[in-house]
Amino acid sequence: MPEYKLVSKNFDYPDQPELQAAVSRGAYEQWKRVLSEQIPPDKITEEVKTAKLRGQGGAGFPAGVKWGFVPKASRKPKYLCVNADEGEPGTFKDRKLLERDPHQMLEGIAIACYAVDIHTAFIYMRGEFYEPQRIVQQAIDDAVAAGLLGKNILDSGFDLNVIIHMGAGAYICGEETALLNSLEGWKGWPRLKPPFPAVVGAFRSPTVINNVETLSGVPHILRMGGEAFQKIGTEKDGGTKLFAVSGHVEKPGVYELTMGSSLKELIYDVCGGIKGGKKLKAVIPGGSSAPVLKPEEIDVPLEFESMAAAGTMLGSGAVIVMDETVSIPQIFMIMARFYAHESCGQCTQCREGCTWIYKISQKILAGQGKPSDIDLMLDLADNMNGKTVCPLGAAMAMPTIAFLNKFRGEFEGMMKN
Amino acid sequence: MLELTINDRVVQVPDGLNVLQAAKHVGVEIPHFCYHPGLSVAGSCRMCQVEIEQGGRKRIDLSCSNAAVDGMIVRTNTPAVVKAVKGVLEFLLMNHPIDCPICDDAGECKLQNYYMLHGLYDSRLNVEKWHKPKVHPVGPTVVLDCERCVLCSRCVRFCDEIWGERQLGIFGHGSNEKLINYPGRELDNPYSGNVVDLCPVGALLDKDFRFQRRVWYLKSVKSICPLCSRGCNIYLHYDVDHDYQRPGRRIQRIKPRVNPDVNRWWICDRGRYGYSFIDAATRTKTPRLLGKDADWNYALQKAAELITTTQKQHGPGSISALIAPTASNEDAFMALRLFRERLNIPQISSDIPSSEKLTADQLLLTDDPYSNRRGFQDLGLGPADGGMNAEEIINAVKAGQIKGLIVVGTDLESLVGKQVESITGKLDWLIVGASQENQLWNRATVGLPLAVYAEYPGTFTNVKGMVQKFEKAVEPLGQALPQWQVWHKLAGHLGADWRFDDARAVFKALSAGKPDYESLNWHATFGVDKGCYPDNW
Ligand SMILES: Cc1cc2nc3c(=O)[nH]c(=O)nc-3n(C[C@H](O)[C@H](O)[C@H](O)COP(=O)(O)O)c2cc1C
Ligand code: SF4
Ligand code: SF4
Ligand code: FES
Repeated sequence: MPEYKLVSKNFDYPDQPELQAAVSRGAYEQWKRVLSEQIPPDKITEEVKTAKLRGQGGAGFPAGVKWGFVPKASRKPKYLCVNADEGEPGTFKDRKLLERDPHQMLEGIAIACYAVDIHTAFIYMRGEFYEPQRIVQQAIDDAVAAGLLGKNILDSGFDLNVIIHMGAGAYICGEETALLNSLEGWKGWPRLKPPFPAVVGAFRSPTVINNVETLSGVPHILRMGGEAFQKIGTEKDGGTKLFAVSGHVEKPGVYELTMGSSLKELIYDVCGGIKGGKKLKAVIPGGSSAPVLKPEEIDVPLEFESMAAAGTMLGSGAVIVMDETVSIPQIFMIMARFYAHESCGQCTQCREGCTWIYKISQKILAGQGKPSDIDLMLDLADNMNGKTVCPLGAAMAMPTIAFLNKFRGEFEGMMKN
Repeated sequence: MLELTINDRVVQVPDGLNVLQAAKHVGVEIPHFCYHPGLSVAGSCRMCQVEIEQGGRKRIDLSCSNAAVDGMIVRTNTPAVVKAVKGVLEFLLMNHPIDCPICDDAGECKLQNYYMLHGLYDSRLNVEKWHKPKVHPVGPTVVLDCERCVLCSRCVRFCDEIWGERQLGIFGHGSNEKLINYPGRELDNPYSGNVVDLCPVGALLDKDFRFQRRVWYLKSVKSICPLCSRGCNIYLHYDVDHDYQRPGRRIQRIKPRVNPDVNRWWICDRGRYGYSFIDAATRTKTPRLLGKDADWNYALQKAAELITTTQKQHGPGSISALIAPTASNEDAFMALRLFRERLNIPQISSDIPSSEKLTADQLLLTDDPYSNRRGFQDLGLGPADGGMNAEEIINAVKAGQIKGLIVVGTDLESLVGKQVESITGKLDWLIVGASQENQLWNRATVGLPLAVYAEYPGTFTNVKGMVQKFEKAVEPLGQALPQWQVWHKLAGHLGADWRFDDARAVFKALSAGKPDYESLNWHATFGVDKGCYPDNW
């Protein structure tokens, strides 16, 4: 199964972040065409719907449908928030898009804003992304200087102000409504939904929130047409997906595959198999929030629905591969520590549950666990799962349940010692 | 009205309620911490989960953030709901210090009550608890115990949304998160005490009440705050077993009583903490005659003689009365009936400048420290009723035109300063009605000790013209009497045969022909409340 380079096709040109170079490879062609041909905004949204472009930030919500939720007759300004927080453990694909091809994303932003009648876009960027910030800011400045962004773009009368807002290092601020609060200067606590951001978002105004990768795909949809884009992928998941593969594979890195490719092939063909020929033990297929898969479960298509059917999720496409040398109770403790630290603390179950499970996992590692601890953790996870404001509670609970059920023997083994 | 089914009962509720309110409306209490009807919906404690069935689809969801909708089916007791709710409780108790035996909130604590309700008796906790600050003064009036806090954010929302200043916040994340002051700020807004009422647990406590009484030893009556013209509805919480004749604190605390038309759920700190005068050592307890204790009959007999003699010698205009509008409508009515109607005293004024200057704020406090100015006005004792104002009366005293003066509920400092001789020297006699010893009390020819609002039932009319009743919590101190009873008795000594058995009879008489007054149902608001704090959401 070969890679399919669409959004990553210019990653290997060192000069791609420069405007001239990017333009020479086709950047902003679709944006110029949209403006010169005055393509009706609705038609763009329809095209994105046809393309079956799914949200690439983790939830997989169809992008065109989301744009369509924004009320047309709003008297308030509307906003786009680009989610460049990339905090999910194992995920490092947006960073590449930001660093290697910022103009592709900016073109996607411009087209999305045109489609939804937005004149201010915020790029909410992970606080640690110093280098991406510098590169993207330079790209914005260049594009504005070239009249591709900013006021009265290419004499069309369309204005678009693109602003980078740096986060301060909290994972939760990648959750879209926590992101909005953080952007507005409040504590990054997720908001109750409904109302959804498309109706009440940033500054109480209608807001579209899309992941960097989602927006980077938009110019390609306009270039090849929605139907052709969809056909690259599967019936429900159009186009491609970037996978950030880490852990015990021969060739870790970011790979672009068509939607629906096989997870097994990604690991064994594209990434060269398990490092040093060791035995595969477990795969986390979609970032740390995705329930773990055992070796016999990895022959699944990389596609939102199929992954859900396999009891896990495609998530952000962060594939973490673990070989036989890995201690699952230790991985589990590290994961639990992450969520215990990153829970925003708003919901009772998530705030207390993550910590409780984390503390139990520490005890188990220290050889002080009791067999009953496993059922206790499973029950605590059940009390958290799906009962909180945002999905972080579930993002802790679901992998907990998977780790404990699938590797129960290994946990119990630590207790006998 | 809409119709929904709650726990298999078909019920009707008014429009515009959420599921939690709708259930409460029909007597089904849904456990909750963060929801409060006076604040925005946070939806974060997750305690109020119920099963909601709509269009054949069931889900477990929050009752505080979902509007009650026609045809909705709500269940609060399915096994899944009970498990979810128990789960939340267990998580809340995980890091809780369980120091109920020394917590003032015990008996009023939601966490404690829900724990009893859901009977989660065997702790499954098998790890160390977090430790957080235990005694942190968040401001001049309130103390915080961070370990007891369930992080419901009610107190934060109160400061942000109701008062409008960020003074408290929840900082950090994960279970090490804590509620604490905003950096560099204190909880010093003039409504700070409300966060204690809002706090569903014993995390925020009144310094004023801390370690004073277990709440189950308290009784409460419905009352009206007498400290400004807003007339906020309150409860007086008083000691059940206190021997009232001994000096000490009988009123233990004041809590707001919900009235959507007046104060909603709130009261200001001035009203909340300003009750020490009720049991102050300076209370007047015995009638006085020429600086010596006397009994009521003798003192009133003397007062009657003074009035009769002066009126005979100098005419009705030689006597004047100054009555502060802090007294009840019943007091004012009886004063008028005696002084104006019976004795024909022409100059009676309630227009006494207050020595305390108030500045109205954006919430409740008005700029008028007198609780019943409007009532006095309605009854014909207001400044607009012709005649002299208080200052003119004082000037007339100084000019020797007035021989006998009756002063009630004021020490006249705002008019004469400390120079009491400037008037006492000009008078043949001075009759003083007061609940507190003041600069006039010891110079009074006759001193009449008066009960305070907590000691007898009556009505005040607030700044908006609303007639509101307050009830009696404790007996008058010593021999003090309600003001209207004093005038009633004095009238007897002056030969009148009035028969007003109680405050209600007086109210009935004064409200005749006044629709705003007649509409008050005296009994509807009467009675001693069992339980300490019935409006607790
Ligand atoms: C705890 C949590 C963290 C998240 N972090 C990110 C993130 O770092 N980047 C991202 O794009 N989406 C993140 N998401 C998903 C966003 O909430 C949201 O679904 C996404 O930004 C929408 O864009 P998309 O539809 O283009 O994927 C996170 C969600 C949760 C619950
Ligand atoms: S689930 Fe966790 S992270 Fe999400 S809002 Fe609740 S406490 Fe915060
Ligand atoms: S102190 Fe009380 S009111 Fe404030 S957040 Fe904590 S529990 Fe809630
Ligand atoms: S979540 Fe509903 S009361 Fe707290």
